[in-house]
Amino acid sequence: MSVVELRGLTKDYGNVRAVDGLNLPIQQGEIFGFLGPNGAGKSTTINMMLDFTKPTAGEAGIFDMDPQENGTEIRQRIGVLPEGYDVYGRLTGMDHLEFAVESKNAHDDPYELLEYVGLDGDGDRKAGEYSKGMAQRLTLAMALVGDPELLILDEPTTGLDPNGARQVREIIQRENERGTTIFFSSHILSQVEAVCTRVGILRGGQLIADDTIDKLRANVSGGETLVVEGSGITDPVLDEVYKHPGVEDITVRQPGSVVALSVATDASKTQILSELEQAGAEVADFSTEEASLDDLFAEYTQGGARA
Amino acid sequence: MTWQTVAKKDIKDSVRSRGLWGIIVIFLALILVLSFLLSPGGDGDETLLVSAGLSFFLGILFFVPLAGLFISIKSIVREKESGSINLLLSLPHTRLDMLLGKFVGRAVVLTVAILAAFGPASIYLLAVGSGSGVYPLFALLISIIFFGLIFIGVGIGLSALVNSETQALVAGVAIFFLLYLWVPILGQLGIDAPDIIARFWLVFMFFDFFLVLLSLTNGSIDSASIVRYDDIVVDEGFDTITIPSQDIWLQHWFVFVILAIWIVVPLGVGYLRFKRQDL
Repeated sequence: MSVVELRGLTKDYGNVRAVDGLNLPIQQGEIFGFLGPNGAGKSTTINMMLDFTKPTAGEAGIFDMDPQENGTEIRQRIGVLPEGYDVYGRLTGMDHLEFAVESKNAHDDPYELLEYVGLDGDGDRKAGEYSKGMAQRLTLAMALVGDPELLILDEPTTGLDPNGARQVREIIQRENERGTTIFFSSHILSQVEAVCTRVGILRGGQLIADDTIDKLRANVSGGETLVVEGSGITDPVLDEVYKHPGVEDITVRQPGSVVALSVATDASKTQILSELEQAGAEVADFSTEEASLDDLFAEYTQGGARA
Repeated sequence: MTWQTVAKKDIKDSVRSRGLWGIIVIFLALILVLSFLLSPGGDGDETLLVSAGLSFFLGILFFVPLAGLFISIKSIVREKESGSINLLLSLPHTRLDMLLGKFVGRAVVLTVAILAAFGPASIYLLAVGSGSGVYPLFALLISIIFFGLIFIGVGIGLSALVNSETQALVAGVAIFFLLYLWVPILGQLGIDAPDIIARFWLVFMFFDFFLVLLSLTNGSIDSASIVRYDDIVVDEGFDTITIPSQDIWLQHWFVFVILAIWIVVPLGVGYLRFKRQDL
């Protein structure tokens, strides 16, 4: 069963199309990483799923319901860590959790939730005194109230130190093991790669990739870089090597002596190396580098690759 | 029906506002001093009531509207600006729940504020007076509370309507003067508002409401609205005036309908915009 089903979801702000005909089904039990640079339309999409914003066209179906029609019913069954939120500065952490518990008619113990997110001992302090990271934990605890079937987390690791971000990922994983579907947005790839079973990349309001991390990696530049050191690696030599079908891109790192070749996964590196030597270069050493995931993300979000 | 949960949270939140308690303390002091200066020399209901009316006058004129607007006018727009509204509406509340919860919550807070500001002076006046004027004084306090509800309704409605806290502040100041001055302004323009329209004026509403409560124990008070009394009621006292029977919309109890209109219409207008707005 699709937990989330975006169909042709579109949002215009004046002449600007923030979200452009998004089609996206998310199945029960998935941890979906919703990636994209700031301004790609991630939050606008999430805001339409929560009925904070009305779509210009299309539908953001959740549990086969329309948020505009059945908003409270949907929100009864989901947990949300929204974007750009603020806590109630004059209320304590406990007040916040009691409010969430009461709002959902749930039976969670606020103390347990505080402990779960690492805020034990801070429950009686006013949330206005919390750091950004503590407020983030508190909001995550509120999202967990009522054992939701779907967690929608908009940039949940923003404002957290690496340790805090890791704790949040652990919580996400633990909740997922209990059967919760996770929709997790971030502009930082490394935050989602560790936990997500599937990743969608949004750019300019369009989904330009939707796959597992491994497959996305395979789709970008074949994934490997061959770094060659030596001498006589001149432009005419490189022109010759570029004709080889396995060579997709060439970056000169030090003119004449060090060059990085992006090669397809199925290409023979030995063949490429011998091609270099035949063209007149002398190869002293070579190594391979795997394209880092950040390179991959940059390539997807700034141009170039398409899956 | 989740507005109760919103109201409860809202009360908890707003009673911790230092600004609110600051206003209450200032007016509490002002009203107490005035009561002390104007406390009744002789015995009897009317002297007590008159001295209460005089001592409370500034409080009713300024404290109730200012506190009412202060409490309500930023309630929704501030949540929009800060983003706490995202937290609230991520939970299973509708925007109507939020609006109603805010209205009820802030109404309760204003009631507490009014009792805190006028209560001590009331007790003082009763202590130095004869004590037989308990009911009129009670009726006066109730009238003040319901008078305040108008400002909560207008304030919440405006708060749902405006786009920023600055706009809310400007709108609040403008509405404060407008609510009092529209009848005099019409008068200056040479427009004589029909009685039914004039009944919507806050001053007439306040007296009408008070009249209804008084008439519960004093059958001799005619059921006509204050707009038919002109200005003589204060000078001559209630008992001596006789006004022929009136159409329904000119009877004093019709003030309840007018009060409901004053509360529902601003809330409704605010809601219509708020409902469709992108956050």
